[in-house]
Amino acid sequence: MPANGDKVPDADHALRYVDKKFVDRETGVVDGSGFLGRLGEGPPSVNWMECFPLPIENQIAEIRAVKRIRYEKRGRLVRINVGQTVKHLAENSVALSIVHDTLGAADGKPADPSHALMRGVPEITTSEGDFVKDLLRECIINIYEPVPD
Amino acid sequence: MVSLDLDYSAAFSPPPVIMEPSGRRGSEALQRVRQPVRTTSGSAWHEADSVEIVTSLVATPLSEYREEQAKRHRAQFNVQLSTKQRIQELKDDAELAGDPISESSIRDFQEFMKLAAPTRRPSIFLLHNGNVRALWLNDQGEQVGLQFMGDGEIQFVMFVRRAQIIARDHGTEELSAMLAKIRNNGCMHLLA
Repeated sequence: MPANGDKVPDADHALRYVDKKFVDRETGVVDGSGFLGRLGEGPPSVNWMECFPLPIENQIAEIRAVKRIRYEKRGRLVRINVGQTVKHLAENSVALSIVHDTLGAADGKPADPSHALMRGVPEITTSEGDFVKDLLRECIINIYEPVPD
Repeated sequence: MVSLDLDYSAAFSPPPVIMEPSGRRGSEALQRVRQPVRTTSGSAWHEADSVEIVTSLVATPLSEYREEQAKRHRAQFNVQLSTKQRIQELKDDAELAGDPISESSIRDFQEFMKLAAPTRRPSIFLLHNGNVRALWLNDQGEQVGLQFMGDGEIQFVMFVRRAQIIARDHGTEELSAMLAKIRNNGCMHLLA
């Protein structure tokens, strides 16, 4: 198991919650903007899925139990493969890494051992920023409906 | 002669060129032509007899063309309707959440949709900066992604398949020139 600060293994997967305004339910498409936080919020957070045992439904349930954000019915959970994502962005000259970043218990919330950060995603509002977001969207393997809060 | 080039930008106006022989209606347009033929006398060409040649001038009967146009117009109308509903949903959500939404961006998006008159609805999103983004995708990994910045400016990201590779282009363009940009990149089929 990676220690804090270590890269999440390439063979493993990350889960990201996407806000409903980046989900078009009629077409079923999720925009790559869902991978990014607002400007100034720092690297986007994801959950390292293999921190918890399979099956995937169990991993999602465990992540939900330790999450720090609110899930809405119209939001979505997207799953990416770490190695494929890093490779796809590198092929397009973007140096991305997903690093382990455990969160301790705080404010009545339990510790989150699965928390990780996507480092290297540029926080820019130009067309290059849109381009990187679309590359990330291409890496989505699965989309799940969350159990809402 | 009948032109089968059906590309035009306005949603409900007739195509630029279509002609048929006057007084002819129905499923086929025909033309009769007369040609001189050589006689057995061996003399120079003269018009002793003629051969009537009945030629079908249209590959597609007029009724099939009209049906295609009606189908296209219905698809465009459905896109307009569902697009309007989606924009209203985004506006309502933004208002409830206190999120920014740019009216200038919405106006530009609506203007572009009027110009493009697509028969496929894009996926539509509201970004953190309040701008609308429209995204057309297909199952070949191709896309047209447009962020409407407001004041007539559009940020685009286009992916198009070229034989063995996906060509990728991104940049900024004026609204008035955006359709031409999409056409030049070979991406119009994503909107059609």
